Amino acid sequence: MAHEAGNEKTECIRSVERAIDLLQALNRRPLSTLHDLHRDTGLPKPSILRILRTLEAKGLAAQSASYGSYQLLGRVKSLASGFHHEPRVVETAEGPMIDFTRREGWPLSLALFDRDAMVVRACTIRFTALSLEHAALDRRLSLLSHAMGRAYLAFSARHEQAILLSIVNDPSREHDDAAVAAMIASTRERGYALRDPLSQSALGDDRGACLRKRPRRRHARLHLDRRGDDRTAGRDALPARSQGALAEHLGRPRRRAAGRAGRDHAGPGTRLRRGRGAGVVIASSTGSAAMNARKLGSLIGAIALGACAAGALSADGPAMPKAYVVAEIDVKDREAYRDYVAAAFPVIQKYGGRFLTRGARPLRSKDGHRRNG
Amino acid sequence: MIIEFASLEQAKAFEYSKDYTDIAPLRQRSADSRLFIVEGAADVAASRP
Repeated sequence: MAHEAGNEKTECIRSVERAIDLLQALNRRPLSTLHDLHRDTGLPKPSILRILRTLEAKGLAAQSASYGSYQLLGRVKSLASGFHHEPRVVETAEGPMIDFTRREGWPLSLALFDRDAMVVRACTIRFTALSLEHAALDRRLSLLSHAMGRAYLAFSARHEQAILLSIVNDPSREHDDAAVAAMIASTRERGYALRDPLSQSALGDDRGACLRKRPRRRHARLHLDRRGDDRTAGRDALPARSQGALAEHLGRPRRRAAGRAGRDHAGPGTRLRRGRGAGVVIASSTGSAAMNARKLGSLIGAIALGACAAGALSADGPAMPKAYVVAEIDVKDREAYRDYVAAAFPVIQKYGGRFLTRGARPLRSKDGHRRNG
Repeated sequence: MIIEFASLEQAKAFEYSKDYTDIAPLRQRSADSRLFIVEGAADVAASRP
């Protein structure tokens, strides 16, 4: 968490700050080990343990007996129960975002600008298995390195860009002005933003597109567009050139993700075609060429498409890309499902399949990263 | 649930094998399910322009 601005620190109560950092870290996983928390917060382990004891005493967190790690308890909700103000754009966007994720399995996040970064205010990770992140809410995403930040920055008006850059310009880190200008130009040209390949992903593999505030409208309206779908709603949300580029990028063979409904037994070709379209969603506030740079007014947010962290999944793999079968399973008949598992297990083994996660319990991979299924 | 396979071909070989398609109806009867095949990236940095 923000460890900058040392001179402002003297006015803060250090232990309260640490407790808040720890609560935020606990929110990111269903279960966290002491080591996870240490890695996330940078706090010494003895301090973490003392804070955890305090949280336990207040009924906010507990050590999970079966796995030896820590989890939040329902009472943490009392900490935010008085917060009712939800920006209208989040309220408006959440429905269509959830619908999209339910239909396509693809996670989406919506972020709003706050002070010097984009803050994730809505995400649909919990509606899909296609994300290794547990939650992205309240993540602060850099304007310079994350896709959502870059999209927001690039599609801001020139004078706003200058202000934003002066805010994020950190004298201790070298910013290459020319590189920033090139990034802005290529993002505008492309119509959507990509994350800095060198930056750590907070949201898996993300693509950012922009929402725009339109003064005449009372609130923003979202249009979802899916490539390979004949519906025309939102087709003009992006200039055709950008739509094609985004679809092409998402549709690269190495990023291929095949999705289908459980009962759908179409052939392999059908699945892949469907899968290529599955990742494309464009949000615009107007339904007309919102991404048209000339017309862009002030921006109110950015929306990101999170792929399933394909990079993270394969980071330890050899040159040959591995493949992952991701299953969302809601068991209706336990007995019959047990029979299925008994029959499927030897087949999975026969084809060299290896379980990374099973059921709701996360397993550890050999490199120590937890994977949620 | 995530199952790792050595390659996309191998994952597809599994999904479309007679071994598996014979038992898939068991899954469809006993659970609501959705399956995805996702291919990992060979070179993460190179794949992001």
